Amino acid sequence: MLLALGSAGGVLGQPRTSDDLIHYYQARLARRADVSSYGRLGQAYILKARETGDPTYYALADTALTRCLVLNPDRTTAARAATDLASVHMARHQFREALATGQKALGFDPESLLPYGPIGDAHIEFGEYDKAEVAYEKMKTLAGSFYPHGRLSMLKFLKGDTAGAIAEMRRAVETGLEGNQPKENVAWARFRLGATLFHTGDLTGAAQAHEQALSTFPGYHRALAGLAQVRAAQGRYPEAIDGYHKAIGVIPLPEYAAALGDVYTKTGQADEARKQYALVEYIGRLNALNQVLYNRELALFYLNHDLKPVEALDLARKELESRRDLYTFDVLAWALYKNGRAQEALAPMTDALRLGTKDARLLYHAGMIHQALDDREPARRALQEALRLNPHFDLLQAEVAARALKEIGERPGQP
Amino acid sequence: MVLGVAAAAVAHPLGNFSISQYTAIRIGRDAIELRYVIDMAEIPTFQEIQETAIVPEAGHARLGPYLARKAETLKDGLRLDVDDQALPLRTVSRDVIFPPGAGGLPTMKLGVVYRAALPPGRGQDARLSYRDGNYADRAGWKEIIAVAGPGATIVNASVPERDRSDQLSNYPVDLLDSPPQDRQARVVFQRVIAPPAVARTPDAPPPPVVSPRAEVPRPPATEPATPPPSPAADGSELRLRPNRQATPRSALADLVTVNDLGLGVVLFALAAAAALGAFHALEPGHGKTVVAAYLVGSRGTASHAVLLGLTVTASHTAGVYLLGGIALYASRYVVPERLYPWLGVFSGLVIAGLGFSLVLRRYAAQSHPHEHGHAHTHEGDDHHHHHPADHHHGHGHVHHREGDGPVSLPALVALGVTGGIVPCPAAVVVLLSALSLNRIGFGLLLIVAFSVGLAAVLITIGVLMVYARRVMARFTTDGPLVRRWLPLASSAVITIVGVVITFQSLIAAGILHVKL
Repeated sequence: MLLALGSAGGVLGQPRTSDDLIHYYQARLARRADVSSYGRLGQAYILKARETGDPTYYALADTALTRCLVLNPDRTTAARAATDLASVHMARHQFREALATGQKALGFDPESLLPYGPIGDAHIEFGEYDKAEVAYEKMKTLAGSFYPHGRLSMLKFLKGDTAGAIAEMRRAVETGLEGNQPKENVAWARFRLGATLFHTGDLTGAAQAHEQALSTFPGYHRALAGLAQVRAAQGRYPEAIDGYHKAIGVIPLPEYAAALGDVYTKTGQADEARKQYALVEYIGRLNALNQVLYNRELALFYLNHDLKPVEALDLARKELESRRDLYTFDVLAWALYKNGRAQEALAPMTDALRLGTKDARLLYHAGMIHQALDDREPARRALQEALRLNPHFDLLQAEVAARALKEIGERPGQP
Repeated sequence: MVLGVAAAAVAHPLGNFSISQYTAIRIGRDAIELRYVIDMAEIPTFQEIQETAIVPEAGHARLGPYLARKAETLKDGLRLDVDDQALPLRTVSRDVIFPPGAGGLPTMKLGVVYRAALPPGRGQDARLSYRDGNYADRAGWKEIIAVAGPGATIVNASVPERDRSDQLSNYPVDLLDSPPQDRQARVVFQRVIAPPAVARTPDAPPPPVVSPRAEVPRPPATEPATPPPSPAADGSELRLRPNRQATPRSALADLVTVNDLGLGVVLFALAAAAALGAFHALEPGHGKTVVAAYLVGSRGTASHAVLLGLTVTASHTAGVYLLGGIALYASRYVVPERLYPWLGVFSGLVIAGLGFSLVLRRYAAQSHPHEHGHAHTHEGDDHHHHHPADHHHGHGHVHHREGDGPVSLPALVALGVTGGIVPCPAAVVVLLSALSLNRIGFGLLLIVAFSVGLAAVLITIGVLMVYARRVMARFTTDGPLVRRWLPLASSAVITIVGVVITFQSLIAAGILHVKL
């Protein structure tokens, strides 16, 4: 009776807009409450949430998927709905629930491979990279599927295999196009490709990827911001400012406002910069009111702008309660450093670098910590490596890194 | 009674960064009027304040010039065409309010009425197209409606005639009623030709009585449709109102979400929870129906009433904890929604069974009036102590005097437990909200306070019932009313309540489908 469930949007043939999908399944459900339509409606809401960033749609997706599961679906439908529900949990930073729900999905249908996606994603957030890899590897047997590649790419990047990460993300784009994946999904893969290329300092490649993402899904806020970041790195500041404004026009994410503020700072427009920084803090306050988990980004913002170091350290510690991935350890280390506790920062910094991630930001933090401890050689190596990987890794922090390196004294002949 | 548990998670109708837009197109004979409303959530309001240096207070001196400028800026983003001809818009009136949003932070609601004169019509179909290009990519509630004023009729329209948000003041966000995303509209309309000053030609086309409208491809709204924005004669008046969703949905759940927990707040919350519990006991559907029915029918005493009230409360509290625990530890989809009906079925069946067995006993008792012609009161004690052995089953605990046998206790407790085991959604919601906020201890405490309030009322009702029956018994000491029909009727009521609970729960569980 029930339709076999494939990839999102697959049943209807051509991927439609999320609004079309939502209307279609709403109309179906208005006629008759069938269990698979609830699952489908949930998927459409997830897509809409991804496109707009509006959490309202995650709440709706949660309700639709939960209702699907309550109505005694067959095991394939149940596994799919639980997998989607786990993705909703991930999007809302409910990592424990995401893992539990993903495993529940496997319980419904042990042969299903899709649940390994959110399961692996949750393991990443817990810093359990081996477990994440096992989960993602299982997904790989989903022949021709879009889903494993993007995830494997991100894991490869974390493990220091940036070239592998880029290749894997290109495959995600290809399979997404071949598999008629919703446009947002393809645009996401292109945006991620751009972000990974940016880590290697390949500004041209990164800009191209973001532009392609924007032609796949016009107005895609992630790609707008990604492209703005590249433009800022290229010194094309008016374009960067315009791009960030467009991204903020879609969704005022605090990281966009912070980056825009940095461009204004860089171009000497202190008043405009102050407005954006005030917006970041305002959103942080709202998130606290709404009990939204948003500690790490806010902490990093405070630290990079030499604001509220004590509060930033608190935020980093709080984040560690729910998330133990390497970027959380990185922010903790950075917060300790900014509070003048470089010695204590060493341990979390080591945690952050334990996979050998080739991310300039991590190495910059490590270098600064070593410099504060007067470990000149490790400091020089880390800072040099950071600037070699991507001399534009951060509009303002890259300057700090270069200055610190000059102070230590660059030794020619060092790699 | 059973639904509404999962609703507590969604606190705000739309995100803090949303910008909602609303246009009511009102077509008249000589002009088209656009009633345009923008509702900015906390973040865009903050940005707007930053950009324009306005002060979010009604009547502030800077607001007037800002509003005038803003109305023109917004106008530039709108496009209204009739028969492929752009119509210039003129600002007629405007208003702005700043309703407090999350944490008392300001939000902004801005309304403008624009008017465009219609070129003289010729009485045939005119095609209108409208497009709102403002905040093109921002998420929010984007709604357009089209209504015909006097002197015009709508032939068909791509947008509905009634709004769902009551002019952006009441957002119904549910599964089948997600935010509309209408940013453009097409309308075909006809105008009634203005009758010449002196009506000479009687052959002017009569105005169509019914306006045929194309079916809008949208599921029917589940809630009663709100009336269209009053197409009053003076349509230029704006009625901006704060969102209704700003008011809490559940008073009890709102208590847990209080941000700073000072001692005063805690005490207040506990008192309020107790009061809510007391009121809750007065709502229909709780075990008190059973309590009352039982005590009326049986020769219960005040102490029985207290015992029954306490049992209902204790089992109710336990049920809440149990459900909360299950919701927490078990899994995501043995959500209370699913477990709840089964708990209801269980307790309904037990209550019905108990009631039915009481009916049987009392009926059997009636066929032997000599053995049981005793009112369980202090006066007129004509207790017979010579029951035949084979009739012993026929007069269970209910016929014993207070404290004269352990037989009565288990049944009483069973009744209390089943009457209270189905926890009310309100209490479960409090507990789950507390859990989600990592305030487990406080949540548990609130439930206890809630239960204390519940118990107080249930016991009071029970005691009242006991005394009411005694008063009644005083008048009709040994009459058939007290002796036969009251007990029988009360057991019947218990049975019916049990059956109703069972059916309700089966329907909620989706086992039974009832066509309404």
